[in-house]
This record gives sequence, structure tokens and C-alpha cells, in this order.
Amino acid sequence: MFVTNTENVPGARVARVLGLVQGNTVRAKNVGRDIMAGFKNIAGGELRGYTELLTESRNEATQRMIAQAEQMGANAIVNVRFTTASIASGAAEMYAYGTAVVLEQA
Amino acid sequence: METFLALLVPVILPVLAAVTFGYGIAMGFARRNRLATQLAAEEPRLAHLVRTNTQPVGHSGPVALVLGNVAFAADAPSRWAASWRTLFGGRADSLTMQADMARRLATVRMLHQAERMGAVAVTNVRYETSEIFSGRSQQSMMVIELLAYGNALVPAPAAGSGADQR
Repeated sequence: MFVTNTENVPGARVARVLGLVQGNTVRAKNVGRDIMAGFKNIAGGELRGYTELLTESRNEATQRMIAQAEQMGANAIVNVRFTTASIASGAAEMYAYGTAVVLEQA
Repeated sequence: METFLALLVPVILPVLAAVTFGYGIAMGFARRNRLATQLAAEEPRLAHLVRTNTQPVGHSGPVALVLGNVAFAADAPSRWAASWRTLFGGRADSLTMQADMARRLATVRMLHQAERMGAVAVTNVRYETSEIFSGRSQQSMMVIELLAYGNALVPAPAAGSGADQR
């Protein structure tokens, strides 16, 4: 599956637009990481445990989006956007969406 | 026990607060300095990767999605100072600087990913800032996530006709 955040792909032509595909995942922070993060929070800086957690969950959201596109028979997703939101205390939602298309060699 | 209780409010709590504060300030400065050094080394090295937030024009090689993210917290003393700042409003300089640093770090990570692919440019860059894991205890924890993503342009392989990408 070809994934890009632009509308057009060089060297290819959009043959068919199949529609919007999306994937999301909500992750709660975990207590062990949280204690460490709490200490780090005093001095500030990067919270590496959280960076990893967010990367993992964003990958998961992307995978779900890709699975949906595959089901529709797409071979690419264009104009992908990512958003993140804190939806409850201690939980974050990762959301990925894009347009599933069939690309052809131009 | 009695002496502990007697000392709790006048001595122990202020000392704990001062130690936490001191740790926050000292460690915070050390961490930010390290990050600043790291950014100062990486940014010029990656400067050859052109970044735009528009669509690519006239590129015929492969493209790929690249991402960089960082979960970042500002130090507690700065946040505390900024919470006082809300009385009069105005600029919170320390937080401005830290948010900027975190965003630059996310950018550098995105560019690293692009560099590994042998890209020459990253186009259509989008930035996103979000507050995560926040809730009622906003005061005690502040974590922001900075995400940078874009479309890396990789030069077309020079094999065959030798056609060059523009």
C-alpha cells in the first residue's frame, strides 16, 4: 500500500477515487511509564516512553486505515492527515485519515 | 512523630518544595542545553533537505511519507511561572522557547527518516501540536506532542535512459 500526504503522486495517475478511509486508536498511558514521566515532568524535556507509545499507536491507526483501504480494493492512500487529541484524562486518540484511490502508471 | 508533625508545615514542606524546584530548574537547564547542542549539530547537517509545505512540482522519482514526533514536557518551574503570568497575560518566554525546541526536534526526526531514504527534499510538511494525557490534573502534568510529517522526494534511479528528474 502506497501512502502519501500529497494529493498527486508523481508518475502516476488517479484512475479511481474510492473514498475516505480512516483508522483510529485510543491509548491509555501506563502506570509504570507514568511514574517515570511524573519525575521527568518536574525538569521537563522529552518523555521518551510517551514518544514510543505515541509512535506505536499512530502506526496502529495507520495500519487500520490501510486495512480499510485494502478492503476497498485500493492500491494507494493519498492526502493522508494525522490528528491527535486528548479525549479523556489519561487517554489519547490517534487518528489517521486519507483518500483511498486506485493509481495507474501515467 | 510529634516533632515530625510540628516541623511538617514550617520546615519539611518548604524544604521539599525548594528541593523539587531546584531540581526542576537545574535539571531543566541541563536537559535543554543538551537538546540545544544536539539541535545545533543536526540542523545544519540536514539543511540540504529542502522543506516546503506545498505540493511537489515536477518530481518524477519515488516519494514516501516521513514522520517525526516527540512527546515533550516543559519544566515545572516554567509552568509555575507561566501560571502566574496568566494574571496579567502576555508572553511566556520560557514555554515559547521550549515548544519551539520540541518542534525542531520533531522536524529533525522527520528529516532523519528522509535522509535514510536518500531523499533530496521533504514537501507538503504539516505540523501538529496537541496536548495529550491531560485531564483534571493539568497543573501537575503537561505533556504536549509535536508531530511533523511530510512527503519525502527521492531522486529517480539513474539507470536505463539516464533521464534526470527536474
